[in-house]
Amino acid sequence: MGFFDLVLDPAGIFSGDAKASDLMDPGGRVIEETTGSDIGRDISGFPFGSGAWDQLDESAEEIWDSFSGAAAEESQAEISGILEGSAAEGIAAQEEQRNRIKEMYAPYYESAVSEGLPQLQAMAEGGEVDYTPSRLYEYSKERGERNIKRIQASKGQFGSSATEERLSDFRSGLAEEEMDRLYAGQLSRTQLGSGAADAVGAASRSLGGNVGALYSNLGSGLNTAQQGYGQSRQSAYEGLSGALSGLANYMEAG
Amino acid sequence: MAFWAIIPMLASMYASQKGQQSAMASTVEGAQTQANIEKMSREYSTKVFEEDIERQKPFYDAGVKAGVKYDDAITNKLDPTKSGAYQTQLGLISEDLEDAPEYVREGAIEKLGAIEGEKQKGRLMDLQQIGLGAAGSAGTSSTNLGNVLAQSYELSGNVMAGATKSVSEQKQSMWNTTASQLSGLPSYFSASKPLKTEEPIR
Repeated sequence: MGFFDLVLDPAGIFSGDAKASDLMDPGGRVIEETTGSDIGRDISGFPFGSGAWDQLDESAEEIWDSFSGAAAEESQAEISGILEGSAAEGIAAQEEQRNRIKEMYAPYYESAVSEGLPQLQAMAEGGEVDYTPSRLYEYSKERGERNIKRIQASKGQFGSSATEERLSDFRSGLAEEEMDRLYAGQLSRTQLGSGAADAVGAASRSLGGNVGALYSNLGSGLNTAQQGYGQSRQSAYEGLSGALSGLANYMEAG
Repeated sequence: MAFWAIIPMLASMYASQKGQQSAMASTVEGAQTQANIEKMSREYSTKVFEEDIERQKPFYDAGVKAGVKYDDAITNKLDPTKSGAYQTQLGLISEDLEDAPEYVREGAIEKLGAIEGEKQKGRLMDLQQIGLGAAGSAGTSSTNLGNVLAQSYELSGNVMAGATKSVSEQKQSMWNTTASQLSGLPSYFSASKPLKTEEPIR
């Protein structure tokens, strides 16, 4: 039962079952229902029908909600909910993009950090180098040694110290080339990972800026909504104050 | 009757004050909410920055470590035979050197060390440049964070200062209104005295 029902119509004589929005004839018979009311039910002989009381009841409840701030509070909660929901979705979208970019660059980064960089450090400073001779090295070594031996043999110097010197120089040079290739490969891998880290950082800064803007807008919006709620409450109290002041003036004059 | 009008008048004053207080409370709450949201924004930006620093850290640390050894390398105080590249090359040629004359063996090892001494300087410089690149990227992130934090703190400060000013003005307005209403109360007391009746004209 609403406010007027309790105060003015406790027996429910006039309220009946009809809704305030139901269309009724002068005798109170519902001729067009909204939801839930019985069609054609003769509710009362009161010329206004039970719908009028319900209308007044609803209006009184709205007025009371306005004074008590319940309506303003509900509106503020709704606005805050919309703002927070929208900001949360926006932030989640930015984070999703950030994670997607991190995943894309992760293989390059991991390869550099876990393999490339440690190998570069091992080659330059000391430590175990993960290496197996390449097929190019093996092939070049075999061909080169054979050619040198053949040439030296043609000169009648096969097995001489001169031959050993030439072979030694050749093998040292080949090993040096092999090491240069290994180093170049590890350096390239490390530089790819470094580039990946830079790219993720740049994307994070950009998307992070979007998140910052979302937070700022949310804060500003919630502040405005809160102040609007306060102003609504103040307005309601001022209205009550005015009514009481009018009553006081009436009593003073009387 | 006039005297009892004080009661609704006092109730009116109370309601007016309540309204002002409600507005003041909302001003403060709203500003505090916005300041708290800005704090969340700052925390998020700081988190993103720290992630970036962690990401660059391996490259930066490698560069710094290489830089320490580079100081000795360019003054030829660093032993190049300790490097992994030297050891790997030595491993490639040592088996074949076993059957070679001693002077050939010594010559090959000496040449290997001399060449590696120069190449090591280049490798250490490469590592430093990788570290420098990481520092540059971290520096950009740091600058960005600094700008974001400055703007956020400025906004928070302005919001709180504005709210404080607004509340102060609202308080002043409330007391001015109350004072004005209080000044009208004596009229209710004077209105309660019985009026002099005029004597009928005889």
